[in-house]
Amino acid sequence: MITGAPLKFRIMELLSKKNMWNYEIVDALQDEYHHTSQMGRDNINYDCIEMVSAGFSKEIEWAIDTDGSKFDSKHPGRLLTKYELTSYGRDTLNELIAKVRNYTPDE
Amino acid sequence: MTDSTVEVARPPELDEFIKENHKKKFRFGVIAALLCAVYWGVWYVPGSAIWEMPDFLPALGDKIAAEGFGTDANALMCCVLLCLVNAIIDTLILFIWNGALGKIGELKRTFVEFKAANIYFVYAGICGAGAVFGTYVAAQYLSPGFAAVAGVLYALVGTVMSVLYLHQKVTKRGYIAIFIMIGGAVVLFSGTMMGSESPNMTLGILGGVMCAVCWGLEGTFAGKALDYCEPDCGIQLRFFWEMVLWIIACVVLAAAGVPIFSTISTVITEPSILLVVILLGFSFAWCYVTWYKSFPFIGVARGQAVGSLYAACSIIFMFLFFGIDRAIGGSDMGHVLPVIGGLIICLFGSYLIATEDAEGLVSLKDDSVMGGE
Repeated sequence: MITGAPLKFRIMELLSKKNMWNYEIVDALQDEYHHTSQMGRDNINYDCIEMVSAGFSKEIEWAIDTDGSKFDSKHPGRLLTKYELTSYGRDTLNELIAKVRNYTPDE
Repeated sequence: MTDSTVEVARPPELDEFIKENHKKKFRFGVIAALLCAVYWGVWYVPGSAIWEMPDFLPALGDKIAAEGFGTDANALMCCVLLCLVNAIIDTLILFIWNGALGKIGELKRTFVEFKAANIYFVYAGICGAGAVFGTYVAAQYLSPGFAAVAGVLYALVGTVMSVLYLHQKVTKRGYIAIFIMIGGAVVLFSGTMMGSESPNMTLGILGGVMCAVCWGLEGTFAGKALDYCEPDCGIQLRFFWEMVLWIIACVVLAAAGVPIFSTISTVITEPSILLVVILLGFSFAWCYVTWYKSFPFIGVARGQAVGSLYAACSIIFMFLFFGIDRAIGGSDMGHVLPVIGGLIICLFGSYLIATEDAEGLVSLKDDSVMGGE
């Protein structure tokens, strides 16, 4: 596991293990990165969107959070997206793992 | 999706929703790049006014001249000091910006991951320093118009590098729009370059080349790092490293006997100079924040092309604050017509980019990298 590295490194690492919905990624990382406020959660989501542009991940499934229970209760009706790491993302993650200061392989 | 709280809409409606979200993302990138152009244009106002504050750069010029340095060395040292002051104020403003966004933690994480992330911002800072210095030199030795045109050519360097190095996708429409916008900016300033005289043409042209090449390269390095770093933190680090570079340069110059720091205290002691420096910092910092924010959404080539509208914005703001002669060099038809023509061409170029198909740009990476994914 990568520790103490920028947020996007960890998002890539999470996606390398399994495909995830954006709210699952947000829930998994908000405590680790002290992003528990709505603005913090939006920041994580924003990073997920940017990573698709960068070609590290791709959108594979969509749904609508009709009652806001998954992402933002104050703004129901948001688009939820499920992501998969691309092979380019996997290669980049391996390059980053070789460069980061703290990486502990999973047992 | 099996959870009852999440209802899967009918496919056509969901399709529309997804498309609308992709469009929104693309639109956000274009608006960020447009804001970059506006702030960059605004920057020319305090950027010009600072040269007219007698106790700061003109006084430095006098002191350097008194030490026996030549005219060229004198002008270049003033540019170096201005670059240092610009980098310091931008670093401070962006630190407050990151604090307000709650991103100091992410900034620290990006800083300490030197090999994986920070190193690209060192490169971006070095290139950015060269670009800012080049633009001051070009403006001093040729004309502000020439500096602006040279600066606009950075989009050309950025486009080539984003395709070759970052493997980003640029559509045929994107290429056409980029060339139209660069052409528009050249037309825009063609009137201001007529009959301009220079005390040292070679230095002016060298400054212009530095400006175009370094800004293009900066965007490329920044684009690479922004793939896996936060834009707000990235821009802070880029200015931090530029500041370090200028501090080293100024200390070396001071050690060589150049009185480079002799008037820097006026930035704090003279309220009018402080105000201009703060305005310089705000406009430049915001210009960079929006520039870096546009890259992850529309790519380096488009971000830089839309950002090149700063040329048009600078003319508008210079006209508003300093009058037509300072803005375009004269009020006759020979000066006014190229500006009107250039503005129309630039607007057409931005229209082509803003109306590009957002669906094809969900991922900005070229198929050669994505392997058809």
